[in-house]
Parts: sequence; structure tokens; C-alpha cells
Amino acid sequence: MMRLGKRRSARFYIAGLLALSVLSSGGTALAQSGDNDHGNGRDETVWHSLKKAYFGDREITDGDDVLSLDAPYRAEDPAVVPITITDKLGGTNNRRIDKLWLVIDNNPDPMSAVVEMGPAAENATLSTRVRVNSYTYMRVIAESSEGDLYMVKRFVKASGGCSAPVGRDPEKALEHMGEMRLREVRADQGDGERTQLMIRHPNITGLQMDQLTRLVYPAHFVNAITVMKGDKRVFDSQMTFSLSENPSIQFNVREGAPGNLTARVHDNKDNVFEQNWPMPASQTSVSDNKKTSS
Amino acid sequence: MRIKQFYGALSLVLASSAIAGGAQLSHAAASDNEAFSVVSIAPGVFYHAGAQAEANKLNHGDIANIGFIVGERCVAVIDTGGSPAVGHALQKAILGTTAKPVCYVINTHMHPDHVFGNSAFKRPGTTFVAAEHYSEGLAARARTYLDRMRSVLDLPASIDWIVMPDETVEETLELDLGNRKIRLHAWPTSHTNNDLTVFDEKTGTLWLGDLLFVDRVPALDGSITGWLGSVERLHDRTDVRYAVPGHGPPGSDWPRMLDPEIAYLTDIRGGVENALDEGRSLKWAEQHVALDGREDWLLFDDYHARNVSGAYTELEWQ
Repeated sequence: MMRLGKRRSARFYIAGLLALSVLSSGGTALAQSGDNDHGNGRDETVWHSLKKAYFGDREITDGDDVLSLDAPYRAEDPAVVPITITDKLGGTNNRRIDKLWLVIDNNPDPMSAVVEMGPAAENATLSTRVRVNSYTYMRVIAESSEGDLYMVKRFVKASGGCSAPVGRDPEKALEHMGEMRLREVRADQGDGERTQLMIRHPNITGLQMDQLTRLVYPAHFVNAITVMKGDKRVFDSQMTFSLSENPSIQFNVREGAPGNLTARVHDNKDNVFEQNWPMPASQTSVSDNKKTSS
Repeated sequence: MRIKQFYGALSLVLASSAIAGGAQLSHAAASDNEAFSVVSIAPGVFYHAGAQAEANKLNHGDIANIGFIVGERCVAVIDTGGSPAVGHALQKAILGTTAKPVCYVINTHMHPDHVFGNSAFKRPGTTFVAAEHYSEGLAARARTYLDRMRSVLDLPASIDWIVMPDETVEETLELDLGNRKIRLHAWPTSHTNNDLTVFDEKTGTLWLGDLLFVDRVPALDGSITGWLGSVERLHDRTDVRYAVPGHGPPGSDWPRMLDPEIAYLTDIRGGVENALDEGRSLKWAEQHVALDGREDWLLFDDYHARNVSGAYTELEWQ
């Protein structure tokens, strides 16, 4: 599958399984934190298990000088929580961020995304949208080019009412599955622009209470995205259904990197969607690139 | 004109009833100085006004308008409230009004404040009816909803609270309550993807479920374009004499009572389209779009940003 190579993706999934088994043995703690909406969920138990599974004994230091994580304290819509990871090293060649892990402690599969930046990335600044199942810590671990690990975290409260961390119109998302768009968007801070890749996909969690409907809705979600600029990688990534319906990722392409921009998207049912845009993307309007799948 | 009859005696019966959870419910009611009551809005059509508030321990999830229609043969219940206690209270209200059995429980959509009283009505001879996508919608959210009910209502919400329909409506369905026909209509994705309205031909009463919010800010959990399309279609209807919204007071000022909601949703759609044209982010839109409505709507800050988020993630694909 794709450019990631089988070996690396296999390792990712083994790690994913590990995380799940860790979770089921620590299920009581998870259930308790999920049930209590009043400030609990600030429990480090899940993270300690994940840390061991993913990073072993490696030291992880406070990352405030290296990166920041912008996430709302109150998630207005738990199905679509916009987050931004800002690379404070700025992609300089001496010392840069090479890899990011996004962990949402109290989600069903906490290891939500792993992103490896490539030479066609300007920096490791990324925005995306995630689901939040309950009050939870959200954390990003960054690996520097020197092999050091840094972490930042934010506490997020999912708001109540009738909202739930599921898509509003899964049928429509399925009908258009695989459509992609590329846009240039404004960054929230500063005057900068970013490239936004949008992917139509229901990203169904598969964690519904199927016994209620006697119908089976297995998990169906995007699990890998690779973005290339010409023959150079912008990033490789793997993810779970923690990403919202119709996944969206914003990133910075290295200025002057030659060639077209290509996105390859893989889901857990082995569907592969691929699309190619002439760049610079700022000249690519939304309406220009519907269904130009290669 | 709106006919109003209050059933005070009935309320007393309810307040002293010993149904499970009933004690807490009557405490809740007592705190508002008012027990569970139903009002007749037209001959044989009864409604209970839910509180214009978020669900909490005091109101027991009694925040949506619920009610029933009485035919010569049997009764159709329309939504059952936000917890089994509310459902039981409604059931008592029905028993105090008519000896006829409940043959249908109709759910206008899958939100917990409208359906978590269902279990109070589950017995042989009662058919549960909902729109086509109700079951998937509720199943996908059930875990979240039950967790939330445990923490917000402090009740042991279990899977028994979830009652799935025996019959679903793809487009329309007519039910006969005995010399009284009610017409059910399933809508394209609007407030949710399983909105169902109920029309009582005899009195011209239209139950809109959450296709209509009055005073309380609308909550978008479906499609903004779909919802606007549906209310615009409804706006053209001339056979409606009384309208019962999912939240807020019923009325006969049809179709003008739709206008504030249409204006609000239109503002959001326009504001989000502008934000998208300018390349603004989802976060920016949540913080800037259509804030003028804050003075006009109850619970604005609890729902508005989420409504914008829902509109943004839909309209960015247009």
C-alpha cells in the first residue's frame, strides 16, 4: 500500500493493537473518566500505558519551546474539534521536527495520528479536526531531527446537548467517498496561508451499539494519507477514526518545491484514492479540482 | 386562536405517583412550583411543555415538547421526553385523560430529550414509529447519550432506555387512531437525518418536532441547506391551524412562527459562505459568524458555535 512501505505500516498497526490491549486491561479507569464530565479525565493512566507502548523508556521533555498545540478548552462540536499544531522550530535545517504523534487519551483508540514530515514540508505546522469522546487530555509528541522527544498537551471538555462525536450525514459522505479538494486558506495567526487537503469519507468509528439495530456497521475510516510535491514527500501519515468525518489536514508546502501536489489516501477497507493538482495551490480554486482523480 | 385547558388535578396525581424516578421528578417539578401538566391545544390533542433549558438533575431531561393525540380507538404519543420518568409522567397524564390504549409511539427524531421516555410505553400492542434513518442515528450516538445521561441527570441510564422503532417511515405514512387520521412525513436531512412531522387532519395540528424551535436557539445536527429547504416547504403549507414546535410554545400564527428560525439559519448560511470565500478557518467561523442572534435566542452560547461548525463542514463541500 502506498509509499509508506509494508514494514512501517505493519509496525504502526502492531503498536495500535498494543495500545488497544493496554486499554482493555485499564478499562475501568477509562470508563470512570468517560463517565464523569466534571473535571475528571485529567487522569494520566492511559497516557502512561501508551507512553510505554510507543516510546518505551525514551525520555520525553516539556515541548513548549519546540511546538504548541491549539485546541479549544470547550469543544463546541465533539464531532469536529479544530486543532492546530505549530512548529516553533520553523522547519530550519539544523534542528527541525521530523515526526509528530497525536494522542487523545480518552478516545477509543487514543493514538490518533502519526505524521512524518518530508523534505517538501516547510515546517511541521499542521491543522486538522478530530472527534473527542469525553473530557480528555490531548497531547502531541514531537521527535526532533536530533532524535529527542518533546510533548505539549491540552485539556479539552466535550460539550453536551444533543451532540455526539459522530458525523451528521454519513450517507452523503459515503455517496461522495474519495472526492478530494485542495484549498489555500488563511492561518488563524499571522498573515500566512496554508494548504488544506479535504477528503470526503464517512470515517465511521465502528463503535456503535450494533445490538440495537441488528445491523452491522463496521469501522470504515481513512488510515493513511501521503502528500507529495513532485517526487518529494510533504508528509506521510497514519491515523484512526479519531479524525472527523470528511478528514481535513492543513499543512505548509516548502516554498519553491517543484512539481504537482499529489495526495494518496488509503482506508481500512483497502480503498485507495489519489488526486493530483498543479501547483502553486494558491492558483487552484476550489471549483477547479473536482474529480480530477488520476 | 389557541384553546388552553389546564389539567390541575392530573398534575396532583402525578406529583404523588410512586413510579421509578417519579419522586425526583416531582421534586424537580415542585422546584418550579408546577407539576407535570398537559395542555389541550385542540380537541383531542394534548401537549406538555418542556423546560426551555438544558437537561439537568432538576428538570430530569424534561426539556422537549411532548404529547399525544386521542382517536376513537386509541392514542398516538408524539415523543416521550428525556428520561423514563418523564415518559411515565406522560403515561399517567394520558391515563388521566382517556381510557383508550396507546397504539403508537411516534418519535420525531433520535435526540435524547425526545426519546428517552420511550421505555415507559413499551408493551404489547404499542407500535413504535420513526423515520427511516432513526435507528442508525441513535445507535451511533447511544453510547455517548447514555454516558451523558448518567453524568448530567445522575440516573442509571442503561441500554433499556433505547427503544428502536417497529415501523419506519421512508416518505409518508398514514395512521388511523379510529375516525382520526394522522399523517407522518419523513424529511430529507434537516435538523437531523431522521426528522418526522405528524399532522392531525381533524384539527389541522402539525407537530414539527425539532424542525421548529421557538425562542430556544435551533440546534443543527443534520444539514443547514436541507433544513432551510424543509422549512421553506413548510412555509408554503396553508392547512396548518396549530403548530407544535419541538421546543417553545405552540401557536396558530402560521407560517409566520417559522420566520425567526428561517432568519437565523439563513444568517448562518450566509456568514459561513462568506467565511469560506475568504479562506477563513472553521475556528474563525465559530467565533465570528452570525453572532447578532445572541439577544434573540435562549441558550445561544450553548449551541451557536456548534451550529456554525455544522454549517461550515457541510458548506465547504458545496
